[in-house]
Amino acid sequence: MPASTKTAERQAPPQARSLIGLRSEDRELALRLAERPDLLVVESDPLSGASILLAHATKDADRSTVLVDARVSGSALDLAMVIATAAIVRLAPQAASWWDGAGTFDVEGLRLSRTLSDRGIDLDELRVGSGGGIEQLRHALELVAELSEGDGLLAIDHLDDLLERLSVRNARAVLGVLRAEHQRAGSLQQLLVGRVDGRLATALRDPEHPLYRAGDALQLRRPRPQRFIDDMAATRRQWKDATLALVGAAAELAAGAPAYVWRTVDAARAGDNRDALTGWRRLRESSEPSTAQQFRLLGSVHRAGPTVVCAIANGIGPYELPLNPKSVNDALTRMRARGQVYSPGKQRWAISDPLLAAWARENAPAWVHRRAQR
Amino acid sequence: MPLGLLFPTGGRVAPAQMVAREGEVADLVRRLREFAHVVMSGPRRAGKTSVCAAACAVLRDEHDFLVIELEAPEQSSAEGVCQLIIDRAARLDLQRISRGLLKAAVPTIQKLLEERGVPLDLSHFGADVPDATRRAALELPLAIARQQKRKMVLFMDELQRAVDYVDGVGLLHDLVDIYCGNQDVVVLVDGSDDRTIDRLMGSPYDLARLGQRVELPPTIPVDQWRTPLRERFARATLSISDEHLDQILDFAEGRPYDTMAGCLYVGLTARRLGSEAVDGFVLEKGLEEARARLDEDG
Repeated sequence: MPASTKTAERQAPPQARSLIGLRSEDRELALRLAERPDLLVVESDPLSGASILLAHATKDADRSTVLVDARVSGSALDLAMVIATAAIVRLAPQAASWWDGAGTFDVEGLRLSRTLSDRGIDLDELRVGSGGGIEQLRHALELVAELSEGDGLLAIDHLDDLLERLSVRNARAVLGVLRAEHQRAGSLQQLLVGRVDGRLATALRDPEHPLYRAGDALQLRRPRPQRFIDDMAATRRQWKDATLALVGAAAELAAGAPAYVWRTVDAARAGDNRDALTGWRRLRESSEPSTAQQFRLLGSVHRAGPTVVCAIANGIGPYELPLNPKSVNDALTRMRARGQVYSPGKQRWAISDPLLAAWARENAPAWVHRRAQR
Repeated sequence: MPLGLLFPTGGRVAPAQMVAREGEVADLVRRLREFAHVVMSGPRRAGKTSVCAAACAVLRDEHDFLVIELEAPEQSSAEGVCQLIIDRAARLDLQRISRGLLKAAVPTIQKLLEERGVPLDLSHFGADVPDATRRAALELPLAIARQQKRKMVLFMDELQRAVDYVDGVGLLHDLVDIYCGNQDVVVLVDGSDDRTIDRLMGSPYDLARLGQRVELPPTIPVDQWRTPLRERFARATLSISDEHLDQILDFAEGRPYDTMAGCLYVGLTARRLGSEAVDGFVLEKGLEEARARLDEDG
């Protein structure tokens, strides 16, 4: 199946308000990128707004930038095709119809194919997704480097989602290729986004791993709700007290997850009663079926998953549950690897999705409620 | 100038950015020109790949050598190494053809592989590359060098990973057999784990039969850092006193990675504060961040 530019990542520029609560992180990311690190690894909490920051930082970059989302990939070959397709869309759009297979005799496409073939990159294999995944990933990275003429930036968002789907060996091989291409003279700069303590971040600190100290790291934690108010107060705009109160309350309800904060605000403004709680309830109602399904699927991650999530949602430490601590540990490890729970601080656990947390709080078994009230 | 280019803490450092490694590069160039195969070893992040790459660049630019560079991938077999050799050799061949008069010529690599029954794409073998195919792939650089009547350096980075290949012993034996004593291709191997390199040099891998081991010093004397670092801070439009520079050097104790990390974080702190000079506060905060980063790395 040839890759298609129609399904390629087309990032809409983030709205200015999306950066509220993330202003210092935005400045820091812009500063780091402006200083041209060879490789920058961003470690972020789930739903911390890293993707918004990434879209903002790459939108106005003064060089060729390719931004991809690794969540759509299940293997190294998938990632290679996603990168190659995004590179064509962004850096060689004139060859897009050829890439999609619509114009076999498209001159621009053939010209590009020939130029790269002279450099040993077989675009056809990349386009149709044949050949070895690792080899094609290398070719995709070379393609971006060639098209960006040595001053390109490749940003891969949610890389840990892909790495977690792969075996340890295959994940190591993917990171090995990224590192090897990053080591190659004249290769492009890379911005890799993973989770705090995910496979990517761990690899950067593991002396046995090929990625060890291969680049700089930047940690992005989920903003505290008060940060939204502080950031709004720091802008030149005069905000109404009602707006500040609405955003502050929405940030508390959404546990500081930027995307949910603004959806709550929008839902509140859509009705007559413009308070955050009403907006939050509307948001919960509209997403209830998917949230319930999300909760049900926790059981397939680990048998103890739903119980552990209910406990965390009700303020019970997961290890206080009457379960084997090893099972609790396994459940937390697996759910953390999937970004369903995260650790906001030492020996503390939180549910990533505030809607799931609210659902689990209300639908927890009675014994969890009783224990929470002790 | 961006701090990331002045104080690189990531990938390979370009020759112009290297500090006080001229002696090591010159020594390596001299050995390789004498066709003494070299196994370069040393701790990680000491600059081995940068030194080896700089030596390869000198050989290519000043002594007309062909260069094939590859990094042994993290895989379960030698398939990846063989594929990289085929790709890199094909690229050299294509460069020769596209240079002009040979537009109509069939690429040598294609002919060579056809003669030996080796496909251009080895992925369908998976982890089971036949011995004859592996050997044929390893012979390609030699064939290209002889065909083009030029000397070549084959630089294999991180070759210690071959100990994890199911056919690692075969790969190393073939490499030694093919390149030991030849006068057309000189092999440069780079590996970071001392214990693994020890294993590669001894039985059953016997890499010691091919080349001599050269240790890259893990530190650079402090007095050789001062002038280049002061120049780099100046290029970053940041002024720094001798006293503050010495504090960075004391912090890093001559280790290249630590020195660059110290300078980078001090520079980033100055940038965050919009300062054009490294004062005591900037230095303290910058080194604090660098220390935290290095401690995290274990």
